[in-house]
Amino acid sequence: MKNNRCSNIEASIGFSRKWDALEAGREVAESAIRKLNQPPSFFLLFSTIHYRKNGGFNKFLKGVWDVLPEGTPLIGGTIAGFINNYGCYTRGATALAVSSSDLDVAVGIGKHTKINPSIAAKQCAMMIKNKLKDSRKNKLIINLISGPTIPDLPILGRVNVIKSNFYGWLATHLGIKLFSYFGNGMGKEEDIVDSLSNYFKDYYIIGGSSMDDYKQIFSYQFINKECHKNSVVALGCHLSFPIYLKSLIGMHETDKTFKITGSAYGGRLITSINDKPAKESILDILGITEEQYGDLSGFYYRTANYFPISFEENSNFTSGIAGFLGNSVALGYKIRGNNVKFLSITGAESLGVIDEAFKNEKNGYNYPFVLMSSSAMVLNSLGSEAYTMKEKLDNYIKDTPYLMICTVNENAKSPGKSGFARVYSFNVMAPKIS
Amino acid sequence: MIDSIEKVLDDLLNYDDILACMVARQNMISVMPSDGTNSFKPEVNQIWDILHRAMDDVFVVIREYSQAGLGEMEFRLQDCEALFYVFPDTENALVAIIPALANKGLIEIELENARRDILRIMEKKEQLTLS
Repeated sequence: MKNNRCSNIEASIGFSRKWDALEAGREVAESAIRKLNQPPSFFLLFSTIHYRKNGGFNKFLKGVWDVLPEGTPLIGGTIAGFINNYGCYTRGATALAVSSSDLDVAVGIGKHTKINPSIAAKQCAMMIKNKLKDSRKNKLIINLISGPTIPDLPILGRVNVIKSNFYGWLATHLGIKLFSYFGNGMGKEEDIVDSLSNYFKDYYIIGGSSMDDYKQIFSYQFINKECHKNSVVALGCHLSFPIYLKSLIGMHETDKTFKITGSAYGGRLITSINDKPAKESILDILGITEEQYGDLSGFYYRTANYFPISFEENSNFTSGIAGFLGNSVALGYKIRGNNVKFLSITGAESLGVIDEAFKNEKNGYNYPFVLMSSSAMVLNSLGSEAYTMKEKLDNYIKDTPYLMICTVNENAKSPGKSGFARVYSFNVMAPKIS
Repeated sequence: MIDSIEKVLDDLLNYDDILACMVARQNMISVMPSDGTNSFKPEVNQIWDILHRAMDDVFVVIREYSQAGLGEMEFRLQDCEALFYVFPDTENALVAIIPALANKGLIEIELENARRDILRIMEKKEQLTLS
């Protein structure tokens, strides 16, 4: 990989596979900044969840700041995995360091996203707006939002399938609201992205949700020297360079459809479908019986994630089945219409979005770096074949520093348009230099 | 070479969801983690004997078809899943035992990284032998 110095901007990728949090922090920062000729203007830092048990994230950040120049704006958090110039990983730490005198940067944080996502988004947006000069033509927000976490329920433990109708009813109508007071439950990323899109109408936005190794128990966000939970962190950046951004969904529609006739919790839980209990209807539509899987945990882990849904009224939004609470079906994100269609994804479609994003691009431009957010479920479904994805990226991006973060939900927006927080999407952003 | 492969296997056992791992072939475990079966997680110790027998049967198939390009195999036994990553043109495979309901794809990526590391160690040894 070259130190990509073109025009007045340079970027480099940091990387560490060390298990110890402090050592990994030092190595990821050191490997990123040693290739830069100037101190970084901002630093994006991502790691897998493994440092929680190997020293903790405060030590990880201490390691980073042992090396990183004081005052460098930093955001980041935990993700399921990443692909960068070095390889495909679901354990380790990576960073993108960017240096340029042609950009202005500010970072922001909004807390308690699970209980009040709109207020958290406002806090975060105001911090950035108050610090950023309205100086340059092109504007960008990079964000990481606390992803969904499964609460530890009394008696039941940490489950996303509640078989009992009584406990399921209790969770649907009471529990799920209570979870958010304790910083658990659904990530509500769609509300945060809707709010950020309103505050940053003329901005490009790219980001995703922080998570662990898909057990969905922990999720951490980093801002400067601090590690947070249940927060949204964002970096605002005004650049002199034009920006390339594309957001794609690599899925196809199936002939399985249904009509939602009852919902709860702001449309994040479906209680009835075609006037019948939601769980029963979903299983019927998919041709699945509970007996087939022993209990529905097997279905959830092996099948449900391969059947995301979209809405006839608004096909830009996708969601997934996040669990079964008695007779209710928990969705990852709120419904955007009552007429639902099941989608499906193939390995070829997961890889095809990369061709679609890059094949006709560049046209005389160079990219100093490429940042992508994609679905951790794609990584989980591809397994070792994720290296095919890396080969494609290497083929298109070559030795330009690049980083793809894999998250539970991804978001993107172009200026003057609505933002989308959705699952199974592939989002790419790169400044363009002629 | 064995020490280096042991280190790769020790590294894999740091993952919560990798219950046991080894480099093996039919009727023979070629390389174990440095602490042998002691470093395997308790869940796998309970069914180790039956798992070991089932693994040997899988190696019959690997031996038969590895030259034809057989790359990966897996089976599920009770609450465990055994994943086999065959080293090209050999009868050896990196074997990992994981929980049946683990997020297999995420683990597979790190197993692929381990397989690549072990291949590099083997190639280095081969080059040293030739020179």
